[in-house]
Formats: sequence, structure tokens, C-alpha cells
Amino acid sequence: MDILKLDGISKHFLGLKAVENVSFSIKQGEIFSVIGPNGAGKTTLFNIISGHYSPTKGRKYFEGKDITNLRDFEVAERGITRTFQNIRLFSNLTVLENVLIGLHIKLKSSILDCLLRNSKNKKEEDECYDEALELLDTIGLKDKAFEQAKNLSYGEQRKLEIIRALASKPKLLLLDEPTAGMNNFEAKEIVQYIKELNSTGLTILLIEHNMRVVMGVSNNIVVLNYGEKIAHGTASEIQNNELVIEAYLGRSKKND
Amino acid sequence: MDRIKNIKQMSNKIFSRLNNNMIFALSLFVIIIFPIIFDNSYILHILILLGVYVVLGTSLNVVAGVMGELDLGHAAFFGIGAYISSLFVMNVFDNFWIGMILAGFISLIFGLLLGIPSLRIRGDYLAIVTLGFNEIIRYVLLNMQSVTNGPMGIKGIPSPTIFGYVLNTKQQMFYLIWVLVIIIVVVMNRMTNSRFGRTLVAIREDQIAATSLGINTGKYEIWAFAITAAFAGIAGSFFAHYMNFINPNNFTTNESILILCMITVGGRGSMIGSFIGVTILFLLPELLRPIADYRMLIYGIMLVVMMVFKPRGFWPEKRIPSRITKSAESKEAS
Repeated sequence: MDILKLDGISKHFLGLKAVENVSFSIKQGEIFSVIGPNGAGKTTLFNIISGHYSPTKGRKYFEGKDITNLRDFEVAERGITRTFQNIRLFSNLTVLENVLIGLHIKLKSSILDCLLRNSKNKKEEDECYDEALELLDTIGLKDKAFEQAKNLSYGEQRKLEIIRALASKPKLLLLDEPTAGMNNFEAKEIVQYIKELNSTGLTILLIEHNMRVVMGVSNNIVVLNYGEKIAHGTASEIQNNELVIEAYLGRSKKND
Repeated sequence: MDRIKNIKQMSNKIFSRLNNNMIFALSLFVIIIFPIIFDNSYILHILILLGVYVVLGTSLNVVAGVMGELDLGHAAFFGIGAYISSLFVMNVFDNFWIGMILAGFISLIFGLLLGIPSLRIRGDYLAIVTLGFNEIIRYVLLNMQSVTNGPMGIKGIPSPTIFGYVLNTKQQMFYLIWVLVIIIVVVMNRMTNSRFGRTLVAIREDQIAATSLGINTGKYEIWAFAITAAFAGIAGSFFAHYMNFINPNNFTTNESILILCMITVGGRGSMIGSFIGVTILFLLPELLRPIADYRMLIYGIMLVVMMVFKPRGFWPEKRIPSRITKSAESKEAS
């Protein structure tokens, strides 16, 4: 069963074709990777999927429903959340509050409930603190719940960003370069964590530069170059694909 | 290390307990006892106006502090509330309470309207829009002579009544405004530590991240403006019925800037900070009255010194609400 389906997605910024006619579909429960050289349009594609940009052409479907015209927060409500390439935590807030904000969609109190703090709101608030602390416990950050998010180490910030995106129990998680700027040890930890998440049935869409990570975890890989899809397949198929090697390493002149 | 941690925990505990009931009871006690001890009409007058400014400051804090938008139009809502309420009570139906609710409601609608541009623009540009809004309201009040009596203002606004009993002494007005202050501060405090308040802080910190988590930022921004405006309107209504006279000069841009100054000095985003800031900047000119000629000079110097040494205000925002620490403590204990 396809959880997400892109159908001929294009995004043009005036003359620049950042993403051109990209189609693929992601199956329920798999880890799907998008790779490509710098400037290939990976992050633009992410922004289209998450609803931050609307595509110039093409449609996208989530669980069989057309979500092309939904705005970003509506896409999140449907069950797609994301992390960012350059970490975007609420850095002046506490770690706990970052997760609490991640729980936003799950909470039902209206503005009036919040102003009056009626029993419904009170109960919900108590429950969501407990839930947030439990979530933090799963990534070992419970001890740091009351620290400012900006005081965490880089690796911890990455994890916090992931758990914040997971707080609302999404069906599809978009990870934009989760191991960027990490050493091998930290990267391994994150990979392990991604695998654990996937084993609980969560579908993950991954952008990554670290080939060891990509080849190790992905069920399927799509390669973009200059905004176009040049290859689609499993890790071994991608590794032996001529076009992919050319895109990454360039072509030698002798063969021309 | 452990000892330091223990001491810190202990002080936190004491503080959080103080925070909840003690401060509330203490302030209630002070408010009840104060006008009885100091039955001096000058002091009471100053403290009544202080109450009005506390309402203005804490309500502006929602947009300018918690949500972090530069709002230079707060006095406009203050003015709308004052005029709506006094015109309603004098011409339509003579009941202060309905007038006050109506003032809050009409201000809320104007707040929603002013919130709409905030969807598209932020920062300095929004500041200009709100500044312009304030000026528009002032010019409307000045020039719509048939309704607002122009620059001469409205005089003879009736004092508030409770079941036909007229509240016209300073003591009665003191109680009325400070009860209002308590209600509004409690409501605001609840709001900042709730789902809604967290949403506003998230918008301030990172709007893109906030939307990616499913927060409809536009909706919450507009409502923040509306709530801010509604409470300013209520303050305006009280002000009109207390002073019995208003004119457009009470509601200039200067007034807006002064209120923004107050909460900035106190600490934007923090409820206690707003309170402290309003108190300092409102009482200081009064305390400095004996040195008449130099008082604005000292006032200015104080602002500059303050911003150099305490750029985040006297009581900067701390985003660790007491109820969180309480819930964590009970977890640890169990």
C-alpha cells in the first residue's frame, strides 16, 4: 500500500527548474531515501511534500487522498511531520516545551479553554506533561527536560528535533539530513534510532549525504540531479547505476 | 555540586509554592488593606491609574512579549474602548458593565482586523502598520466631531454603578480596578502556560518550525491580537468612567510607546516582568516630582542605563512554569 505518491511534481522559481517532473511512491512501513548532489532539489522536494511550497505542476497523494492544495499545517495534521537540514528547535525554550509544542495537534483545548483553564484543559495539560516526559525518556533526554534547548549538544539537538516531530504520532516522518555534521559514532546512533523507529511501523523519508547511512538503512532510493529523477531502485541497483555514478563523480573525457 | 543542586531545588520549591497561593493571597491582602490605611486621594489616584496601566501592560505583553511582535498601536484599543463605552452609556443604555463588555467586544473586533496584516508582514513593517492604525484612530476621534465631540473630548461620563449604587469615591474605584487587574493577570497567566501560550511562543521562536508541527500560525496570531485588544478596551472603559472625561490626546502613539517601554523594561514575555516594568516607569515620574525640572532627564537616563545593564529587563521571561516543576517533583517522589 502506497502511503505517499508523487505524480509529476515540478517546482519552478521563475526560470529555475528546482524540481522537474518527479514521480515516485513510498510504501507503508519502508525507509525511502532521496539522494543527489548539492543543489539537486532534494530539500525543495521535501518542502513540497511538507506543504511549505506548493508545486508548480503535479499532484501529491497521501494515503490515497489528494493533498496537493493543503497548507503546511494541514499536511502536518494529516500525519506528515519533518525535521530540518539546519536544526530548527525553539532554542530559547526548555527541552520539555519543545516536545509540548510538538504535541500541539493532539491536544484539543480551544483558546477559550486555555483562558478559563477549565477542568478539560487542566486534565489535558497534566497528561501532556507526562506524555512529553515519557517521550523524552525514550531518547534519554529526560534529565535535561528543563534545560534550554540551545544548551544541548549537537547530537542531542538532532534527537530532540526528531522526537518533537514524532510527538504528534505522524504516519510519515521526513528527515532532512539527520546525520549532517555528526561524527561516525553519533551518526551510527542516529541510524540505530531510525531503524528502531521504522521497526515500530513508521514510514520514513530520508534525505542524506552520508552514503554509508543511506545504503545501510534504505529499502528504496531515488536519485535526483538538477531537479530530475535519474534513478530509482534498491541500494545495490543505485550503486551500479551509470547515471548516478556520472552525477556524483562526473564523466571522464576519454569516453566522450 | 550535589549541595548546590539541592539548594537550587529547595529554592525552586519554595519559589513555586510562593508563586501559587502565597503571592495571590498576599496581593489580595495588600489590595484590601491598602486604601484603608492610606486614605489619601492623591496616592489612591496614582495607584488607580497604575492599575489601568498594569492591565494595558499585561495585555500588550501577549502580542509584544509572548508572541514577540512589535505592536505600537496599543493605545488605539485603549481609546476605542474608552469612547465606545462612554458613548454607549451616555447615549444608549446607562449601564457601566454592559458598556465595559461592549468596549471589550468592539476592541476585540478591531484587534482581529489589525491581526490580519500580521499574517503577511512581521517585525518592523508590522510596527509601522500598528503605528499607522493608532494615528488613524486618533484622527478619527479628533475629526468625527458629531460623534466624539472632536478635540474637546467627552465630559460628564457617569461613574460606574453596582445595582444602582454609584461608585464614586477613590477607595471604591481602587477596589474595582485592582479586582479587574487580578482577574486579568490570572487569565493571562493561565493563557501563557497553556497550549495557546506555547503556540504563541513557538511562533516567536520559529514560525516555520511551528507550522511544520501542525500549528495554524495565522489563526493564533490573529487571536493574540484580538485578546490583547479586548483587554485594552476594558481598561479604556474603566479609564473613561473613572476620569469622567476623555479626549483624543489620552490615546496618542506616545502612549503606545510608553506602554511598550514599560513591558520592555520589566522583561518582555514575563507576566511579573510586565508588572514590575509598569510599576517602575509609572511611579518614577511621580516620585521624581520634587525635582521637577530634572525628572524627565533622570527618567531618560534610567531607561538608557537599564537597557545597557539589563537588556532583557528586570524580570526576564523564564519558560519554566511552576506547574511543570510540580509535576516533575511528584514524579520523582513517587
